[in-house]
Amino acid sequence: MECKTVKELLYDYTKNEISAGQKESIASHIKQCHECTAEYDELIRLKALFGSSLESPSPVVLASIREKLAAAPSGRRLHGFLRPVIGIAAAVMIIASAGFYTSGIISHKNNITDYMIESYEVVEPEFYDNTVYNYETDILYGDVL
Amino acid sequence: MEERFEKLYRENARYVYNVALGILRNKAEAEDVMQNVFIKLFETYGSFRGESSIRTYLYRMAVNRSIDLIRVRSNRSSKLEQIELPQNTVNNQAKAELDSLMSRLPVELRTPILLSEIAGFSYKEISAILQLNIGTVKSRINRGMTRLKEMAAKEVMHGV
Ligand SMILES: [Zn+2]
Repeated sequence: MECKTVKELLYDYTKNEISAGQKESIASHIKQCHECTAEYDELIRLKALFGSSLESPSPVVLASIREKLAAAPSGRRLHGFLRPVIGIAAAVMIIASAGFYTSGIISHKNNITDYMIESYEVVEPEFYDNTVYNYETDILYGDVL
Repeated sequence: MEERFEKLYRENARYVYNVALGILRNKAEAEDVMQNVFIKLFETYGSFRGESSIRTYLYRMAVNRSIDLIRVRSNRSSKLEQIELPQNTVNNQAKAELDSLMSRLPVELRTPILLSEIAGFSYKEISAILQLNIGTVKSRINRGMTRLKEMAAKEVMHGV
């Protein structure tokens, strides 16, 4: 396997999301290639930063959530509950986009808004039929009712 | 709280919070998001059968709400991404380095990396949460990690 291919697959390798054959090729390549070993070590180092940087939410927030949940009726059905939320979300979006125009930010295109428009058109998950649906891949995820 | 929800909460609260914090880089907002999504989840989780779909829904709400907050911010002022994490949250060297690197990564690359590294989701799960196809998720994560590596290497060169 060439260095370029190895480097492209290194992250998949750390996630163990590659075929057994590729895994073996990468492992044996890393053993004998200093450059790819260095890349791999750096990747592992960066990944470790995430684990050692986890923050704990404030205990006050946790207590407040517990309190609110203890007082709330549990497991309400989705249908009646989400409909008004979707209405509110739509209203919020309309108001937000109105603000967009009046403030003149619409001309100020950037990475974040591009991304949001691309990936997050829907404010609330499409959940009224109780499934998570991926439009892009046409795959129905999950084993919901 | 019901036992099942309690378990879900115990196993995910910290990760949901850290994913939101990674996107927003603001503690108060991340706490708001966490509070919000768990209360919302509590009202709907009875309708789910599988744990994996609940988790997908939970993180998807957290990501969407965090992105919405960024949108609200950007509507409020055109100075995007300028809200910094308060300095007192950076209390060790690893955190300081990661924060410095991640702050320079655009949110579309940052989010899938957070889901992968903090919550430990697979490509397929991230694809479901972000509603992007797996190829897009893979390429965003790889692009993001490559940029992190490049930035880290530059910082070493400049002795930061
Ligand atoms: Zn090599």
